[in-house]
Amino acid sequence: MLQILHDYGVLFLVGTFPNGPLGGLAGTLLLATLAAALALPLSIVLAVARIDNRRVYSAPASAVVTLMRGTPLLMVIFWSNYALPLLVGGSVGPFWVMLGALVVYQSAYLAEVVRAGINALPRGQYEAARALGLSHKETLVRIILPQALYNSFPALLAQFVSIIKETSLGFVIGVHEFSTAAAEANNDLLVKPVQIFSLLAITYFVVCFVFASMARSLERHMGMAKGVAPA
Amino acid sequence: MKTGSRIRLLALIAAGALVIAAAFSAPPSVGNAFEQVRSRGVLVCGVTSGARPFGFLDQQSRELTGYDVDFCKAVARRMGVRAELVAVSVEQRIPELNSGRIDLLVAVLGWTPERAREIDYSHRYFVSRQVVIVRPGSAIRSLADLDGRKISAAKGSTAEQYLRAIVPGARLLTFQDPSSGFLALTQGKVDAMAITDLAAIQFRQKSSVDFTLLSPPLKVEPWGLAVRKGEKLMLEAVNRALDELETSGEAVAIFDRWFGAHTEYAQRRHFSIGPIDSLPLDASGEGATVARLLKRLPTLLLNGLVITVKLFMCSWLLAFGLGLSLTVFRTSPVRAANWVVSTYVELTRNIPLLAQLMFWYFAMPSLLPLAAQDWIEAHDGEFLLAILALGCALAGYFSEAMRSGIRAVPKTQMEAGRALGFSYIATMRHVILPQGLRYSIPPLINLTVLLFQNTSIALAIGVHELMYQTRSVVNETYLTVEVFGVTTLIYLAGSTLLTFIGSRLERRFGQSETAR
Repeated sequence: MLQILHDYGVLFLVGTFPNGPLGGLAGTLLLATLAAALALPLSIVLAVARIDNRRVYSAPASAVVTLMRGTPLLMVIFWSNYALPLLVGGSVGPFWVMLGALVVYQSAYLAEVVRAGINALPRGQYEAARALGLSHKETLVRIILPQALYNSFPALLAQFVSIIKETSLGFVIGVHEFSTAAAEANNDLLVKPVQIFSLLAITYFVVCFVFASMARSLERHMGMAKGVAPA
Repeated sequence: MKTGSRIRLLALIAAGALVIAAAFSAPPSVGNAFEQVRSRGVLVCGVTSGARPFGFLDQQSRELTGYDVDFCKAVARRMGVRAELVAVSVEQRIPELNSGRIDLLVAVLGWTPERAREIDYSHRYFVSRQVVIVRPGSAIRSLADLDGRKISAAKGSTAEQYLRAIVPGARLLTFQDPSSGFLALTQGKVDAMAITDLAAIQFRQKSSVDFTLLSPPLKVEPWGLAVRKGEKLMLEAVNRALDELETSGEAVAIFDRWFGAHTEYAQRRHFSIGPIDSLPLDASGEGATVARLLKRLPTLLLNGLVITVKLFMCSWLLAFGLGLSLTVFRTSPVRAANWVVSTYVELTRNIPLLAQLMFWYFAMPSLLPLAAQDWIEAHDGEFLLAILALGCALAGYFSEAMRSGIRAVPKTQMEAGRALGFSYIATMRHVILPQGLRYSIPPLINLTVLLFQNTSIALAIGVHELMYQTRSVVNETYLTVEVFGVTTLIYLAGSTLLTFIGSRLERRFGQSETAR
C-alpha cells in the first residue's frame, strides 16, 4: 500500500499536472466545485420559474426538471459529449463535457432543493410582503429567496457530496479525475487491484464524509431534516 | 403531480427533444485544416495515453511518449510546425477528431471500411497483427473453438469488430483498456482475449501469468494517421511527410527505438510506409456492416433493456432485503450492531457507486476462495457482481430512508408493545416496521428511481445493459441523435412508470400528514 502511495501518490493527487491537464483528486474537486457554482444560479432560476403561477414559466421549468430527474447522468454525459462541440463549434475537452453535463443535471436536482426551501416558508411571509406593497419580484428576491436559501444550505451542501460522487462518472469519457487516475495506476501495476481500488474508495469516503458531516451538523444546528441522494 | 399534466409534460419534452435533434443534425463545417495548422504554427495530435509503447504516460516525467508520439512530432517537424499532444481515449478518438479539437489522429488506429467512411486515412505507418490469447491448457485451440465463449477486447478497438465478424457466436466483453481485459482473462472472467501481438508480448513480460497464442492471427491490419474527411491538403501534407520520413530512414529509426533489438519486443520492421490499398474487412460492399447492424438495432436495444430490467429488479430486491435487516440491527438496543451498521451505511453513502462497482468487480473476487471465484465466473460474473455492487450500495441508502421512517413512529409504540409482553423482535415485526415503512415510502420511491437509472453504471464493467448497447451501436453506426434519443425516452418512460407506481402505493398504503 505504501509503495503504491509512493509511486502513484502524485498521480492520484494532481494527475499529470503540470505536464498535462490537472487531474486526480484535485481534478475531481475542481470539477465538483465549478459544477456546483455554475448549477446553483441556474437552479434558483428553475425553482422560481417552477413555482410561478404563469404556465409559460412553470411548464418549461418543470419539463427540464422532470427530464433530468428521469434520465441517468450517463445519458446526459453522452448527450453533452455529442452536443457541446456542436454548440461551441468544435474544440471541447472531456473536462468541459463533464462540467456541462453536471451543471445541467444538477441544476434540476438543486432546483428541487431550493423549491423545497421556498415551499417550507410560511405562506404568510409572501402575503405580508405583498400587503406591504412589494411587487412579486421584490418579494421573491428580498424576502423569500434569502430565507429559503439560508434554510436549504445544509441540503445544498449534502447535494455537493452527490456532485463529488457524480464526477467519478467522468471516467467513462476519460476526464482526468480521481477514478481515471486510479484506473491508470491499475493498468500500469496490473496485479494490485485490491489495494488500488481500496485506496480509491477510502479517499472518496474521507472527502465525502467530511462534507456530509458538515451538512449534517449544520442541519442539526438549524433544526432541519433532509436526505442525501446516491450517485 | 396529476397524471394528465405528467403526460402533457412528457409530450412537451418529446417535442423539445425532436427540435433539438433537428438542430444538431446539421453536419459540422469542413474548414481548411491545413491552412489553420500553418497559420497557428501548431499541429494538434490526438494520441492515446494508455497504449504502451504507442502513446502512454511516462511514469517518471508524467509526459506522453511512444511510437505514435514520435510520429506526430516527426510529421509536425516536416510540416514546419510545432506539435501539441492531446490525450484521447480509444473510443472517443474519432469523435474528437471530427469535433475539430485535434488536427491529426495518431492513435493506434487500424484501417476498417467503417472508419474509412468517417475519416481519411494517411499512408500506413504501422502494421499490426491481432491475435487471440487463452489461458495455458485451455480447451480453445483455434478461432473456431471461440464460438459461444466469453472473449474480452478493448472497447471500440478493431479486435472487437473483427471478432463480431469472424466469430459471431462469441460473447464479447469489452473493457476500457487492454489491461482491464487482460486482468479479466487472468482472473478467469473470460475464456480468451483479442489483442495485438505486441500487447501480448508485453503482458507476457509484465505479468507472472502465462498464456497461449492461438494461430493463425485474427487479422493483419495496417494502421494510418487520420485527418477529418475531405481535408485534402492536410492529407497530402501528412503523406508527403510520411514518405520523407521513410526515405530518410527516420521512420525505421522510430520503429527501432520502440520495437528494435534493444527493446523488450526485439522486433525487425516487417512493413514499409506506403498507401493503404487492401480491403482487409468486409470487401463485399461499403457499409454492409452498418446496414446489418441497423437491422439488428431494435433487437440490440431490446436485449439491453431486458438486462437493465433484470439488473434493476435483482438489485432492488437485494437492496430492500439487506436495507431492512440493516435497519432492524441499527435500531436495536445492541451498541455494537448499531455501530457496525452505521459504519456500513456511511461507507456506502459516501463512496461513488462507480468506485464501489470497480471495487466489487476488480478487487472483491480475488479476496474470495477459489471455489467461490469459479462459481461467480461460471454464472455470468459481471452481471452478478453488478447486482451485488448496486444492491449492497443502495441497501445503505434504503436503510437510511427506513430508519428515518421508523424514527417518525412514536417511541410509546415500542414501549406499549413491550409492555404488552411482545419481544423486541416481535414488536419490531408487528408494530414498528409496518408503520415505519409507510412513512418511508416517498424516499424509497425516489431511491428506487435512482437505482433504476444507476443500473447504467454497470456499463463500466462490461454488463451488456441498455446504456452499453446504446453506446456500442452509436460507435459503429454514428447515428448518435436517433439512438441516444430512443434510449433517453426509454429511461424517461421507465422512471415515470416507477414514479407512477410509487404514487399509487403511497396513496394506498402511505401515512398521510393528518394521520400523525
